[in-house]
Amino acid sequence: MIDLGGSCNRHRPLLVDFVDRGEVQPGTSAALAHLDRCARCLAAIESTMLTITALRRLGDAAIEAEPRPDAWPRLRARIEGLRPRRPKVMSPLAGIALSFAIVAVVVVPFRFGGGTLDAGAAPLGQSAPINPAERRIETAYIAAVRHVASTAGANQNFDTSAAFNRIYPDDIRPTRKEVGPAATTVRPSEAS
Amino acid sequence: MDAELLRRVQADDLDAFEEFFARYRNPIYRTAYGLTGDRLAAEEILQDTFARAHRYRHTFRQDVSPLPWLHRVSLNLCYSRLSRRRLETGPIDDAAEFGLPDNRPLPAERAEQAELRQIVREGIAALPEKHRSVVVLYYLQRLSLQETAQVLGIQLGTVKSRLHYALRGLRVQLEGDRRFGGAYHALPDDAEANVT
Repeated sequence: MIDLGGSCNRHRPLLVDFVDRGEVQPGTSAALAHLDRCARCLAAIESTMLTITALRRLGDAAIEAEPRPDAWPRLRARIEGLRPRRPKVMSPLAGIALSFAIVAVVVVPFRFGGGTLDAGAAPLGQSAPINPAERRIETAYIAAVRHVASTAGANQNFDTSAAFNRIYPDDIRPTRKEVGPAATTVRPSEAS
Repeated sequence: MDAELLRRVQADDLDAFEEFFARYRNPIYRTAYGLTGDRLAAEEILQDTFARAHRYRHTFRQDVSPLPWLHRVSLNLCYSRLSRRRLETGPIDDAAEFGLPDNRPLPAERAEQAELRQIVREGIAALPEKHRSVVVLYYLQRLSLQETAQVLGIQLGTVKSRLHYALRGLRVQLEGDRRFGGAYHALPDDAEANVT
């Protein structure tokens, strides 16, 4: 009987299962009987066994292998290096937001009252109590400025650099003391 | 257990990721070592695989083992390296030099074994991806058929079928490789008629 390879194709998977894993299935006996008669299947199964042996030897070389003990520390360092960090340069939006936050926290309470740094700050619409000493200084300053301004208005050639000269009590200016060449001094120890 | 670990990993718990690494590092390393034959390359593939796992940790499903994903990534890394020919061939035998000197094979035998391993590695690399995966898991990782099916998420019968085709493809490649010096003899054409 002439077989065009159909029985070989049918038997070979069973034969491979048998030689690889020792599996005996319903058709294994017939496959082994076929193997006795078929030189081509015998050669193929021998070649398959060599292939399986080579694969297992390759596995033998690797099965006991283990990574180095520092595998995790190296991976951890790599992972931590990959983690997103805080950007070194703040984004413009974050800068603007931070500016508004600073204004809201620091400036607004003093402008509209309720700040904590100056207990004298008054709520909006109310006058803050002023220290009498500060009021006297403020009044004197305003009067001095008005005096200088009126003097400047009367004289167009007024030197504006003198507008904010110091105001001395009773308008008494100290006289300028002329200083001559330094006189030679002799120390007592040398005179003797 | 995987689900709880994955939940913690996805919550950026680095201690959980260390546990995740400890649980899966050996199979991944052994796969890489078996396929590349190079300890340094296997270390790098291990690092690359888990660095990617950390980067894509949020895409993991908590109800599915991450091992198939890890295997796929490591296999791809192995083959991209092998295809770039960046690895020197045969250093897998260097490990034996640190063993018992009296049991070491002769230099000629070692060279022959190294060449055989390299031929087998190249044969595996030439297989289709789905066949390659079952070969690596079953023969190199020594997983059972059931475990291989679980890792790949396929049926047991599919594993057996893929193993059968993978072995046939690998056998044909080894037979055609002249470097093996006739260890694999040429077979008659399968299409040739035979007498039952």
